[in-house]
Amino acid sequence: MIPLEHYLFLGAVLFGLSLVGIMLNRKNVILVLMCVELMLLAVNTNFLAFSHYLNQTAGEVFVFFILTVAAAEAAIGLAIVMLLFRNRGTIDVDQMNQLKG
Amino acid sequence: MILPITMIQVVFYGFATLAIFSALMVITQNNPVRCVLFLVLTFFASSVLWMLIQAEFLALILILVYVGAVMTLFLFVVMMLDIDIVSMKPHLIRSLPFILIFLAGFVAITLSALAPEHGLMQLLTQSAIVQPADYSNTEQLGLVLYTEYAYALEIAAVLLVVAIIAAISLAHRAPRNCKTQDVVKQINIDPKDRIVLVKMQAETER
Repeated sequence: MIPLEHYLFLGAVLFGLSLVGIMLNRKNVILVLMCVELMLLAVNTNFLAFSHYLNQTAGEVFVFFILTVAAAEAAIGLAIVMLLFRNRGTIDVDQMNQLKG
Repeated sequence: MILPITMIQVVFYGFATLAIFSALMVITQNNPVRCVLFLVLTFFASSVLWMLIQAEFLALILILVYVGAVMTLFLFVVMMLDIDIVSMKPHLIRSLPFILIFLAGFVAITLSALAPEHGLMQLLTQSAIVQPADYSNTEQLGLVLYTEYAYALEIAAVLLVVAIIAAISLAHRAPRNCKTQDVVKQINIDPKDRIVLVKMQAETER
């Protein structure tokens, strides 16, 4: 039997790595999107681990909906990246300053 | 399916290491195509880990829907766009201590939730949960999904439709080199410009 702590450890490491990836990467919007997917995976792992060790189904249902929302997010995000590349010719994060924010 | 304990541990620690390694590769690779492929590897490894905690349906969904559809979409977009590849190595080495401190902090925060004073450990099932042989995870999920969470399920379906429409309308480009109607021009046309009536003598046969 794997203790719950080990699943939580794995989830935390995956989440931290993806957060570091977002902060580290200054060039590519697609990599940011991929790191967000990795984050959702880490969160899902935590949800499933708790759902198993507390013997409840609610966590699995939540993971189901997270997967749905993540698929929608990826589709729209990639469409926006396509538009960005079509209009600007680059998907550099550093050059997205047209709004002067 | 009940594996002997050591076998379960071997599978867990092996695939957990694989997941962490490939996640590390995702954030350090220079080539975005390799990043996507390592992300797929991460998904496969976590899918095995989800199987170990008896979430078979979601583990299969992760492979079929996530790897099969979403990651393929990522791969398509990465290959379609012309992305300049920049080396991340100097940047990575500079921020390595920061990364390690960050990771340690994160793990500490998560594991502190299991401290005895929160009482979470008492809620956990102490003995190993062994489901009966005819236990179906898909059936359990379906039973609550279509009764307790039916409303949320419908909202999720609507969300997917909205996402389809949004993605298509964002990325769709009107065809340029084929003949189409210009509706505004058609409506604004004046019949007087189109037909000119000419008065003339009637022709007579000789």
